Amino acid sequence: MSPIHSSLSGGMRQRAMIAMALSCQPRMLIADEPTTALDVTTQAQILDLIADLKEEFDMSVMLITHDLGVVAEVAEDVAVMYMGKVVERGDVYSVFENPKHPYTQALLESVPRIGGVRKKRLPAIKGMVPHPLARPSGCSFRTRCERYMPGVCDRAEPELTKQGESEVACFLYSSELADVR
Amino acid sequence: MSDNILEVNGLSMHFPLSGGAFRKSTSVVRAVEDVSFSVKRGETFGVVGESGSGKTTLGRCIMRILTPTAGTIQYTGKAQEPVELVTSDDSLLRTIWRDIRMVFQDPQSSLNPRLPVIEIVGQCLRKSEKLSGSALADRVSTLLTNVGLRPEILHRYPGAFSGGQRQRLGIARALATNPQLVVADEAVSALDVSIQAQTLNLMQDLQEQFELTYIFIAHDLAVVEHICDRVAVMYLGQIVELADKDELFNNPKHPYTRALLNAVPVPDPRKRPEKRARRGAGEIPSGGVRPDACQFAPRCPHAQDICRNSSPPEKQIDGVAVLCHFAGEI
Repeated sequence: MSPIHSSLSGGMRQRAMIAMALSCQPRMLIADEPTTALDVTTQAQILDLIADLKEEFDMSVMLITHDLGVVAEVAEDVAVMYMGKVVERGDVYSVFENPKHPYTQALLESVPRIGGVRKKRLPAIKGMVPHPLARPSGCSFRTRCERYMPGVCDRAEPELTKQGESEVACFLYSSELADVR
Repeated sequence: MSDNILEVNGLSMHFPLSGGAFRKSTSVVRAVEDVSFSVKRGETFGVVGESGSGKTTLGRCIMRILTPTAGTIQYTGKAQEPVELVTSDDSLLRTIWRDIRMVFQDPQSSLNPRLPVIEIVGQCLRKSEKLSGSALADRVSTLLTNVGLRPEILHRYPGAFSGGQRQRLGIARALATNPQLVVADEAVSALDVSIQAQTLNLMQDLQEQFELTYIFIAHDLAVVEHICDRVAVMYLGQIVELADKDELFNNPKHPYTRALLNAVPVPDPRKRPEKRARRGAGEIPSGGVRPDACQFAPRCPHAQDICRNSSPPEKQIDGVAVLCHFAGEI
């Protein structure tokens, strides 16, 4: 272990970090954007490595990332966060194949996919994340939501509730409002 | 008038590595090695590759931020005579730089934090068009509106903006001189997915509005597939495959292109096992490959003796240029 860190490639450095994290045989590994700065080929290796080590050491992994592809590649369960709150939670198949929250739906639509249906324009989420000190009343996502219901979404904050296979925090799915939608 | 806005022939960029006594040059890094391609007017030409593949160096050579070691770059503007960029002197380059502009990767470091928006976007107009005062403010306001920013921000500083807004400022700065060719080096790589989609849409709208040609340098293959018409795949300074987008993504011919496509994470959990099974190993070796061998041979699953001993010829298969001994056979 003589080489100083500057002579190692990005992938090697990330491996060294993982080795450090595993040195005391943890039960849980929290990986915060572990592959964001890496090339796709190196990223694939690191993700495979984490998956293999997870099996070998029988540990849990919490992977924090903005890349939906990475989530689909390694995770079993997913929580989608927006402005500090979990807006949808479920197993990876339910969340990716049957997303319920408008934010999850919009996120999944806004990534370009290889071999996907060619669209001239990407469906983008309008606007941007509000300033943390200017949090909208009610549901935080309502200012950017395609299905915003005035008089409902701005009055109260939706709670995370069970909907089929997953949990979602959105008034579109609350039973009292079934007739509204 | 030529259909090609840019013709690059045999372009090489070598950086000397110095060391030893008197800092004499000991060896060279061949960042770009004998690269040839042409860019058609109005198209989006993609350049993809891993870091270290030479794609940024290629962009910097086209911008003449770097002076190439060898080769020619011919630029033909609309209703203009062709200009040879490699041998141009500074005064000629200054006029060319109105036509060819660059959008940089990192919106945090590519905008001077001590300059207000009007200077960041409009500084080049003070020199090139002698604009100042309200004429400059009007022009910059129009540019800001074009990229979807409010004109009221003229006197604010870059620190007040988010990453997506800063990238829009970078784009406005590139558009200030009515360019014909824009070199976008990883222009959307540092942005969040939703902001990335907005920026890509903006770039496509501006391309139509101002009849721009883009050279789009990126490592994200999904983004490249979305926005580009033709794509060059670079590996260790060489273009190993150059093809139309559809051909490249549906029928990749070079083993490296296939390795890249296999490595991209797809937002579909059902494809996980199938993808893990197809993946190869290895990463870019740091300059350890003989110049007269196939540069990809140490990582290639199909490598034979011939690959380690001689440079592959450029083959043309179905209109696709491939740099591989076994192109079309594997």
